Amino acid sequence: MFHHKKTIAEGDLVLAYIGRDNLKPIFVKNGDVLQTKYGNFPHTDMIGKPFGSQVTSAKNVGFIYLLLPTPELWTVSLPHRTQIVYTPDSSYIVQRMNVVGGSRVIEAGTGSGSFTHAFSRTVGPAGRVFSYEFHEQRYIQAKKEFESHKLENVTLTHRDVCNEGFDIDTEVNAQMVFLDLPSPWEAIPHLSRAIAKDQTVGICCFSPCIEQVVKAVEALQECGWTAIEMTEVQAKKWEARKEMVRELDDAIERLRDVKRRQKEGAELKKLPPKRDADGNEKDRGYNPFGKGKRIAEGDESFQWQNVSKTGPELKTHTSYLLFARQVPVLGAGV
Amino acid sequence: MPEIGQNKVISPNEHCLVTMPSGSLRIVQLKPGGTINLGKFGHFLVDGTFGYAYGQAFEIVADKKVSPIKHLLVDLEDSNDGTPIPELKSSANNKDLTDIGQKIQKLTTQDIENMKKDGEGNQVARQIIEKMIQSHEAFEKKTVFSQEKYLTRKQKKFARRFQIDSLSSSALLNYYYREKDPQRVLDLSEETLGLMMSHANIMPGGNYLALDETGGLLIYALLERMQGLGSIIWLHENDQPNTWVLKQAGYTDVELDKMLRPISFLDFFEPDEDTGKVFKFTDQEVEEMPPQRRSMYAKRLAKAEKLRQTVEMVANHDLDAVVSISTLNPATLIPRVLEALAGSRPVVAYHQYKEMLIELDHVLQKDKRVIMTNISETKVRRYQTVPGKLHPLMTSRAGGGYVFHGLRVLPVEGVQAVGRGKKRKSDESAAS
Repeated sequence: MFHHKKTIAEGDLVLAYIGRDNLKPIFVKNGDVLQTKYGNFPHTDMIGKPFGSQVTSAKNVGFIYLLLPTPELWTVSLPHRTQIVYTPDSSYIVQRMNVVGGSRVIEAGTGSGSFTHAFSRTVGPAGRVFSYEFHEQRYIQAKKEFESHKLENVTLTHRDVCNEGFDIDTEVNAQMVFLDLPSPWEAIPHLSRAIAKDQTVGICCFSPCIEQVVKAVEALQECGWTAIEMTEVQAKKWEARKEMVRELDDAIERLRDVKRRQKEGAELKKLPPKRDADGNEKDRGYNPFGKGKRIAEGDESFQWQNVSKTGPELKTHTSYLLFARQVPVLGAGV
Repeated sequence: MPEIGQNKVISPNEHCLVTMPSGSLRIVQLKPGGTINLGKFGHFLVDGTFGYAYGQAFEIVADKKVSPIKHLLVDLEDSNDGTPIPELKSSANNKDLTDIGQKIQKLTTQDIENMKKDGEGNQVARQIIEKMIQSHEAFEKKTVFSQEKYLTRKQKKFARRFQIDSLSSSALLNYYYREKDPQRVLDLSEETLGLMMSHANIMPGGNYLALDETGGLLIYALLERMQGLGSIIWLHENDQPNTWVLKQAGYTDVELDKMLRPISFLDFFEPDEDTGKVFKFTDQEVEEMPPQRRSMYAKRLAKAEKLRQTVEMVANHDLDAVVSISTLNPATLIPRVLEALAGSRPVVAYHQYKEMLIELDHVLQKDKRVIMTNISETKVRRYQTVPGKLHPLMTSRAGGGYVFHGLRVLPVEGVQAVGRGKKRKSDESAAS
């Protein structure tokens, strides 16, 4: 799935950008039509276009962008089967556990498969992701999805790792482990058979509740994991805005103006009507802040300052990230 | 040099990260036959560490030799020299404990200094700590937890122990961010670096455009993810890019040449007929050159040819992402580099000050070539991870910076969103 293709071909997965929070995954197929509230978009028109192209609808009334799938875009467009691991968490886990091209990673459970995509991209063709899911329906859906997304470096297994461990037909030999399970402490003792023995192995347990963390810490200690540290990632998104710079002196000047006009009371009645015959706006007197008018943010007739604010909702908790590592006892001497 | 992080065991001549009991970090090269001096934490012979896995902790024993231990700050009982710690009493609470300051400790600084001179290896630390406990008048009035804390604190001060880790991009960054001046890496934190790598969709085989004013830390992280596949066009503002971080990590120019394509702003934005050209000598002239001059000439030719190819790559508009850590104004810089990217490719810019990215966001919201603009901030909160005593650390480093990310798209001229056309037009005419 994750490639560097420039041009859209038949059969490609494309994320159609319909709106900021509306990405629709489509498989491009000659003859198919993407229907949106902004119009209809025939797939035939997409083939041969570069990824990232803006395309207009058949009736030329709306447009969409044809985006190249990335794990981060997929994360915001995917069908949710479970709670998913979002980019602020997943990016830190990948960086801290040092997952790179060629890495071998265990992931349990697969869930909605969001993190699986990010792991698959990062480990590349030389690496491998071993993903385990115990819920049959979710396993079947993930299997279909990974096949259609051509995640060729992912080995998906239908398995309850807490009871049955991580053993599969091929050697797992994982260098990093990510556990997103309700009871990670039951899975931890099974790991010794599946992790690399010739190097230090990193683990991250992803648990929403503190009680889960405590049990996992005890299991990790018992199984010889060290450097145990719990962390959490706090993420904020900032929106760029503009705030009108309103000066005190202008406010006073406006009040003076109002006062002056009130004094001229009788004269005021003789002023032209609210709107003249040509529809010109009425005279509002000294109006430094555009009072009564609809002002677009950044309108050049006013003074603005660049400001920022977080969106209306702040994610205050996703899960605790519990990291540890296991250092094998190797003999000295090369 | 193998790709970053591919050596699993501690190997001769590698550059690595050494962590001391106090938490202090050092970058050292492990030269066979060498001795490394960790100051008050002792000296050790390098050869004894070879063959152990990266991540291994060691204790210094007699004759500067090392012996592996389970963890950098193990309990005293876990030590290898096997001397049991004297049986200690403790208190259920601290009601009998009165703070009388240093007077409680009968051992003087001079006593400790003398002990340091007499012994060697971690045994010294054990002796000092044991003596300190014996000479501590109220040690038994402390709670068990408080006693453990006391031991840990003394170990951090006296233990002759250390840990060797491979020099991952996170290790290298944390060395600068925590140990050295964070400004040298422009206040970039590990979590922010990770966020940049994900949003820029970095993977083996990509061709990326990078700006890096951290001396190469971003480049190091890119190289680590790419594992030898793909290329990085490194846009810089001097004759050559500043590579001090890469040099400290042990990279040589020859190794860097494999993946990196440095190009100056001038060559990037205004390539002309002289770009990538050197004066060409005839074959005969080359033949007659002294060997040293001939190899210099060959290098210059190769460099020029590489620059010519780089200019061509930029002109092809098909790079896979731009990732920037630069102090140049992003609002004017980023729009100028967009054309080098292929469609639907990430635009990722770091800055330690959010205000600079807000300006960029405003500019790109009007520029139709970038969609889904965002400014993200992530911050990791660390915990004291002891069951029963789990709580966030009392203080941590502030800062860490901000990341702008968006997607480069290929707009069609004259297209307007449904329902917006009329409003826009009147706005435009009003403004003009």
